[in-house]
Order: sequence, then structure tokens, then C-alpha cells
Amino acid sequence: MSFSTLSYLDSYNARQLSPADVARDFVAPSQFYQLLGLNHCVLIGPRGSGKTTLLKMLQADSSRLYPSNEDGALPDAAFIGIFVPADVRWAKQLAAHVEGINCQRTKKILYELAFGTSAFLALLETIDKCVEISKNSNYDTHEKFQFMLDRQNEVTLALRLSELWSTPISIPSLSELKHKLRMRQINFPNLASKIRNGVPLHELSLYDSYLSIGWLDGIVTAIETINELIGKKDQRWALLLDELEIVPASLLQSIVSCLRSTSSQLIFKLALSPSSSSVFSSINADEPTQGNDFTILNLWYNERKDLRSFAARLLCQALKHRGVEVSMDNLPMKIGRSNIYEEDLNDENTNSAEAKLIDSSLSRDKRQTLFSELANKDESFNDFLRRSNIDLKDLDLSDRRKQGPLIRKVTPLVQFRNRAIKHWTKNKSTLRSGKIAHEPYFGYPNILDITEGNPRWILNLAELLDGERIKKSLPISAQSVQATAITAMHKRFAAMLKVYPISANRKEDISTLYSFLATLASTIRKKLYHDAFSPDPAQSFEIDAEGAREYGNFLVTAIHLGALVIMNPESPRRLLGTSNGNGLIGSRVRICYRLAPEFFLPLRSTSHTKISSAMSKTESNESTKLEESPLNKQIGLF
Amino acid sequence: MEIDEFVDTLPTYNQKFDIVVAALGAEARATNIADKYNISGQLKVAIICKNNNILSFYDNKNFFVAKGFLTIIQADFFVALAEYARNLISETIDVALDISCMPRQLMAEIVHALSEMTEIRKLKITFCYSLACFTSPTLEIVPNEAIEPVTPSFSGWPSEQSMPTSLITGIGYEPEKAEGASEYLDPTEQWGFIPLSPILEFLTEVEKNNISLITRLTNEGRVIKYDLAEPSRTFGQLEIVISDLLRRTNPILLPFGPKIFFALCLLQSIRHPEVGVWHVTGESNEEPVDRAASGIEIGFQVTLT
Repeated sequence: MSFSTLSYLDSYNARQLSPADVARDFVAPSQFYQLLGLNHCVLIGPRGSGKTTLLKMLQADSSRLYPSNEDGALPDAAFIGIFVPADVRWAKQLAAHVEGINCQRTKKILYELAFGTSAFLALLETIDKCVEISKNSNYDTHEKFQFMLDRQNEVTLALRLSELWSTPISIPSLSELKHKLRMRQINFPNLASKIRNGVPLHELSLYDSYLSIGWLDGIVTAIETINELIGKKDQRWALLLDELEIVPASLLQSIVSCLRSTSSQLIFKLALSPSSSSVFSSINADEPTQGNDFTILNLWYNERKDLRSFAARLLCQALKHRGVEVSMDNLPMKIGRSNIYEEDLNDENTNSAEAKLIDSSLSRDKRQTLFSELANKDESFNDFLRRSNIDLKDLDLSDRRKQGPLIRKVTPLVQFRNRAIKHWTKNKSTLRSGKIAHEPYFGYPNILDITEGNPRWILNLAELLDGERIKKSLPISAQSVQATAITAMHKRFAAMLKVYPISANRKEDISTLYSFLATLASTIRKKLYHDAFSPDPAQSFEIDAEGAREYGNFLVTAIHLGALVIMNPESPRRLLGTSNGNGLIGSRVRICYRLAPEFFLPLRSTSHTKISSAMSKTESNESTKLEESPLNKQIGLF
Repeated sequence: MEIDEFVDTLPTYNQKFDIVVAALGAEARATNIADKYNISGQLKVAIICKNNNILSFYDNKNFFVAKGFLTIIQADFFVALAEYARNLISETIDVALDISCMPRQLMAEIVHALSEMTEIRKLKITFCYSLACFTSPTLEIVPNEAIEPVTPSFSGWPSEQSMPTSLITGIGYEPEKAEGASEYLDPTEQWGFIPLSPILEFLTEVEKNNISLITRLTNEGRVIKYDLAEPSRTFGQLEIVISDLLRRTNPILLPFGPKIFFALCLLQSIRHPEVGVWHVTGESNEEPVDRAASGIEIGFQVTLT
């Protein structure tokens, strides 16, 4: 274990790391290899899903350190990546400085000006890196980064770029040009202030032609100039733009419209939150379309096998980095196997998809005990068994038996309902009290499912497991270690959801993201524990027009944070094509599995109900059938 | 303008200033400074705060009127200030600013307007703060609506945009406000400033209501306790942290807690224009509380030239 250098396995945010630090311990998700192509890509993923990490991996000094892919081959990006930094601070500061300027066109020009200066500086930084790499590396392996700029070439390049960017320099060098661009950056608030105080932009442009350079023209012509000078006319460059959801809408449109055609030498790799993909909705018909002009890469998982595969690899790497002896082969053994877990046949997101239980460590006897226990206290479950011709004495899971698939499907629900319910009759439902049970979430693969394959959450889990292992001197398979780690995982997330800023009309009790999600969860809990037993209770939600109208900001923010997961894989494509201004309508979402222990929900989400119905009082009011212990006492008790 | 001098001081009894500005709100302590120190000025203004005409508002208004203060709305204050500046004879002005009940945004706008007065060469501002008696914070979590620069002039604008964002948080006693803000900004490095008040109950509440953030920052060695009664020392503590962070990050100041800490952050932003002072919106949704003066006042005078 080494903590002497910063690793992305120690950090939850790649923004603070250098590209080399990111690359050193990088665990590549499958989407990474698609990102290396020469096409425009839009990475879509919630917070923590690794967007910044992936973009940073496309920069010159990290792309030298690529891990081999599953076939053992070393991948290569056929372009030089230019990472343009942006974060919420930059976006809010930019918005504050142009506040008070009423002309939308002027505002747009100012946004583009600020962005353009950042992009020009990023290009110069990239050239610096390439020159450095050229000095220190073998020509054959990193041919595309060969920038042997001797002094004469640097002078020529600096002078040409200075002319292109209308930025006079007193010393013909790239560092001087960088300095002058920084001065322009620093002076941006003064420029905005002058305009706010009534000086027309066109008047200022008469004295400084930099103000009328478009950012795209500035980049494209600069790249052409550089390519010409280094003798590689076909060299491709990629503009890597992160956190586009925070960029002002007019600037974003200007960026997105470049996806159709720009220059054969410039490609775009963009990243944004799934909640904001509707920003593409105002694109005109003749503008870029998914598939033809760009590829969308989702950074969340709709299939469990993909989620588990990536989560296992990253968790394994993170635990190893922390000194836990673990390998991909023995990870299930090291963290212990879950008694019952969900397995998808194909796609859990279609109505025909059927959850399949792989009966690994739950013996037939234990299954029989589980089913009998519930049958003894729940008359609706008894009815279900009778209707379905399931014999408690013969719970055969195999496909040979007609009931086999159904038994497999309902077993996880039976486990949860049996734990939750004390007694159930048509007229009276009583929940058990006691501490939150975490057993259904223990072990492999359930503990991986809780992470959703989100790298930040996986690293968080590794840190918690390791911390508890050391504190308790127990292996990570110990239930007390996992219980504490799982509790910390959902409690930490819940705490964040209670305080995360949300701009919304305060509607009744719904004032925080947490209260919004808790209301959705109570709808599921009602179906799971208060209504009669159902083999297929609704555990996901369709965003309808009314729900989007009433709770739009909650939905957008919850999706951005990963608290709600978009389930229909075609959804982002539809989002990109929608023109009604609210791209989320029609999407299906579920509460993320990280919050499942918070509300004692199964790690599944089959049928769905509308958001507006779920949020209505009648749907979510758990206490309708309760005769004992009102909801606020019951929730979280068992 | 640049900060030339900084001393911890309060007005003397009957002291005469050029301008005296107070906030006319719902808290009983709004009049304490003007009453106790009997300060006067050529321009004496009590700015009417929005949506606060309940609790002690009318008592406060009667007091200010009786003392010869103009009770005016915010917009009119800036007109009056501009008019005052136009008729200035001296190049130096001496201002008393009672920030005890002053909304953060208004304080920022006043400080900005004063520091931008082109008619003057020297500006002295005496910030006065009347510490409130202890009242428990509301236990209900009032959600942060948005987190943004307090005004455009204090938004900050770094010279090196590519550096990551860091956060300096003043921690107040409202439950988990600071934690929510830090989650939103996702800073690469965060420091927390905890106030040590002469009224000891405040610290207990601050620590109790921010336990997870304080624990995390304490483990990282990034918690600084500041003495509310020593503004110049706190200003120095802020200076050290800001200067250090500026070498590797783009800091944001997010001062929850006592208004006096907010005032110090504004002055730091004047000193380091690349560093912004931010706040959370949504605080106006909170129910006003009638806080009485504790009898403890804190003040400092800053000279800008």
C-alpha cells in the first residue's frame, strides 16, 4: 500500500488529480474504450459516475499510461485531448458577472468569450504537455505527441497564434501568449462591467478585435496552424468538455451545434448529467442527431452483469490499494456470498423481463422455512400460494417445474416481506419493530448492487469496509463490518439529500430531496408491506407531465445526484430528440439501490407507477391500513 | 481601494461620524448600537429590511425616527449615498455600519458602494456588531435553495481558472447548512471556521448541528476556531488560509454564522478580488426571530485608501 502519491483510488473526485495520477490506478469501464474512437461522444452520467476521470484519461499525459483492455491489447486514442476545465464555481461566477446585462446576444457573446479564452489556454497547456512528452519519451510509442518545437518553431507558432487570436505579445513565445490570454481572462469582469454600465460591445470591439473572434473559429484555425507547423496535417484533436450541465444554455447550444460538422481535425468529447440531457431539446431538425453525428455513452448500468463486473473490478483494486489481500477470483469469497440475490435474465427494464433468483446459499429447507413463516402470518401470501398452485412442501426452483421461475422471482420479496411484517389480514396490518435489518444487502453480489457501479460510491464502500475491518479486527466478510459500512453508505447519502440545495416551491411537507424520495419510497413500501402480497409490486416510476411539472426540480436534481436512476436505456436518445422543453417526461426512474437499506426496499424495480400518482396523498399514505404504529414510527424500524 | 489599517474598536459614546447606517428589522437588538453609543452622523439612515415588519419592527422604527434617522428602503439609500458623495467637501469619510441585523446581501452592496466611491481618497468604516442573547436555532432543516455569489461584485474571478475549487466555510449554528453547501460545491479542499462566542451556548449548538462536517474537517486538520471578540485576529487567520489556498486552488468564502465573520470575508474579497463571497438563498423563508441584545458589542475599524 502506498499513499505517497495521490491516487484516484483515494479520491472521490478526479478534478483535483493530475492526469498522470488518474491514469496510474485507473480501472476502465467498458465505455472508456468506445470513447477512444474518432467520433463525437456525449458521456452522460450522474455525479460521481466517472465523467471527469474518463475525460482526464483522454489527455496527453494520461493516455500514455492506458491500461490494456480485456483482450490484453493496449488501446490508443487517435487524437490529442484538450481538457477545458469548468465547474460550478466558474459557471456561477460567469453568470454573476454578466448579471444586469439585458441584451441576450451580448450575454451570449460574453459567455463564448470567457469559454473561448479558457479553451485557447487549454490548447496551449496541451501543447506544453506534448512538448514535454516528446522530450521524455520514446518516439515509436507516442508518435502522435511528438512536438519537437525548437525555438524557431515556437516563435513562429506563438506569432501566428497571437495574430489569429488578436492578442499582441511583446516576446514571441508561447508562455507570453499564455500570459496575455490570462490577462484577458482576469479582465473579463471589467469588460462585463463596462457593458453593464452602457458601453456597447460593438464599440469595444472596434478597439479590440479579440472580442469578435468566435471560440470555435479560434480553436479550429489554431489547430490547423499547429498541424501545419508540426508537419501533421491530419492530426486529430479532441475538445474535452466536462460538466456541461452547468454551462449557460446559449453557450451549450453553441457547443452542441458543433457536433454536426466542424472540422475533420477537431472532435468533441462532452460530458453532462442525465438530468440535463434535455438541454439538447431545443436543437433544430437540421442539427446533430444521436447515431449519425455523435454517440451517447451512458455511465450508469441498466444490466446487473455490467454493474457487477465493473463494481467488482474497481472494489477489488481499491481494497488491494488499501492493503486488503483480494483478487477478482476470490472477491466473492472474501466478502461472502449473499443468501438471496437478484439476477436479470436480459433486461430488467422491460415489462417482460423476469427477475431470476440464483439459489446459491439458501438451502431448500431454509427456503421452505422462509415461505412457511410468511404464509403463517400473511393471509394474502397464502392466497397467492393457493392461486399459483405453489406447494410449500415442494419449492422446486428449476425450470422443469411450472412454478419454478415464479418461486425464484418472488423469493427476494418473500424475504423482505417476512422480515417486515408481523401479521397481515385484510383488515389489519402490523409491521415488526426493531433495528434496521441489513442482512438482505450483505455479501456478493448485493453489496456491489448498492454501489450502482458508481465509482465514487465504490471507493466510498472500499474506504468504509477497510476502516471497519481495521477498527474491529475482523475480515470484510464479517456481518458487523458490512452492516456498519452499509449503514454509513446510506446514512451519508441520506444526510446529503437532506441538505443539498434545491430550488423549488415548498409544497406541503416536500421541501428537501430527501422528503421527496422518502415519499416515493413510502409508495413502494405500501405496496410491499401494507397491501396484499403481489409477485410484481410497482417499484419504479414513470415521469408523467404532471409529475414533471410539479416536481421537475426534485427529479432533475435527484437524477443528477444518482438518487434516482433512469431505467429505459433508450431514454437519453429520446431526451435528445424531444422538443417539448421537458426531456424527462416519459422516462422511467427508480430509487437508487444505495438508498434501498434506508427504506428497506428490495434491490429490484420491475413494474412502475406514475410519479404524480406516487406523490399524491392516497398513494403514498402508508397508514391507511395500519392499525398500530403510524408510518413515522414504523419507517426504518425493522 | 486597498485596506490600509485594521483595528479592533467600537465607537465611543456620542461619537460623530459622517454616515451612520443601521438595519431596521424585526429583532430588538437592531437599535442597541445607536442607543448605547448614541452615535450621530450627517447622514443617519436605518434601512428597512424586507418582510420584517413584525415582532420588534415598529418599536425599532419609532426609536430610529425619534433619534433622527431616515428610515428608507434599500434603493433609496443608494440614491442618498450618491447624493451625499456628490456634495462631499472632504476626501475622507468616516462611516459607522451597524451590521447586527443587516441582511448579508445588503451589507455586501453597502460595502461595495462605499469602496467604489470615486469622490473619496480615504474611507473609514467602523463595523459594529451587537451580539444577541442565545436563542435556540430552529431544528427544522430549512433547505438551501441556491448557492451563489452574494453580489456580482463579490463573486470572485480567478486568474487561473484551471485550478480546482476550494471552500472556506464559516460554520453557523443552523443545522447542516454548511454541509449542504459543501456537498453542492464539491470542493477539492475545505476549511471550517468555528466561532468562539462570549456566550458559550452558541458553540455547543454549532458543534452539535454540524457534527459530521466538523468531524470530517477535524480529521483533516482543517478546522480553525476564531474568537468572535477579536476580529483583527480572525482577519489574520483568514488571510493565512486564503493566501495558502490561492497557491493551488480557487477559493470561495461561504460565511455562515455571525454577521461579523461575513463582514470580514467581504474585506478579504476586497483584498483578494479573485476570491468570491458566496451565500445561500432561501434564508428569507426562515421565520424571523426576535433576538435581544446580550449587552456584548464587538467592533472593528478598517481604513481603505
